[in-house]
Amino acid sequence: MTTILIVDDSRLARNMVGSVITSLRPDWTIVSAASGEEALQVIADTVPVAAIVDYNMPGMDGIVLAEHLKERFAGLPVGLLTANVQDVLRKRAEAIDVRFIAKPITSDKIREFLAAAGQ
Amino acid sequence: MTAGEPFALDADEADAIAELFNIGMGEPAAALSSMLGEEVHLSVPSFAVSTHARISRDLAPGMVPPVCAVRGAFAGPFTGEAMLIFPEQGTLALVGRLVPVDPAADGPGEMEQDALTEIGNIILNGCLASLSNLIGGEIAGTVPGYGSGDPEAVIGSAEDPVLFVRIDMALAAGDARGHALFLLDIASLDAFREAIRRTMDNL
Repeated sequence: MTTILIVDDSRLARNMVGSVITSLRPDWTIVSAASGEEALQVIADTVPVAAIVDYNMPGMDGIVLAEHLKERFAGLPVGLLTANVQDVLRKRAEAIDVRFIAKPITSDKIREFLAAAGQ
Repeated sequence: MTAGEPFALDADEADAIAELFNIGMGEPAAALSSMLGEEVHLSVPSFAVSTHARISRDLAPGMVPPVCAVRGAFAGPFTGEAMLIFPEQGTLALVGRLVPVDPAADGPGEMEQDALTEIGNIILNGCLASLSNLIGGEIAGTVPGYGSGDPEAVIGSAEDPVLFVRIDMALAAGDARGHALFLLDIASLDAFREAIRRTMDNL
């Protein structure tokens, strides 16, 4: 079973990413969470092939979550999905080897992320 | 919001509207950040059905008066009013990144007001432009104007219901904290539902 983790406080955003993933990889299992804290709980027993996480969330932000995920799953490809396209955030993401994905989400952006993730 | 209110939104609709504004604010905040050479922190957008009077009351505790605001009306698939609002001290700190501010001044002068108006223009019209691209409709904004005073004088005290989107903004240094507010006519709700559907269809 191939699992991908989607974390966004917006249900709309989770649904949008989820529907794109389902169209590109129909056999994948999507595990989604509305916060970083919830993500770390729900992913406990599963090793995802990739994670797509929002930056601007109540509680833990996407960068902190990405650091936790990479600590737990060495080499996990993480995409930071965000409307916040400021250079400083882009650099912070690059510094921890997290791929920047600018909202709004499109099929092409997810396809590129998965290709870069070797999926 | 109680179940008895006539304009209650379900959780999915409120979530979707907040997310559209979250996306809309991204580009203009980045533009402002490059202008200032400093990171601009944005909160998760909140969305509620409110009134001008209630918004003034809710924001007052975090806003030492007088407050300075840039505001303008917009019209299109949905209509309403956009506002960027900072307390006076925060305004001086914010525009001080762009223009020399007289430390002895007791309030924003003409040059400081112009600078805040330009920042408001970038943020508010930038957000509305991103939003209109996203939903595939044109939103026409007016040139925003400057005003100052008590929160109630700036935001208004009308008791009619409005759709209210609030995004808190702060400069990384912490000396300028304010809000971007979008107050939408209730009649816009159906247009928003349509916009959400179109956004999903355009994937």
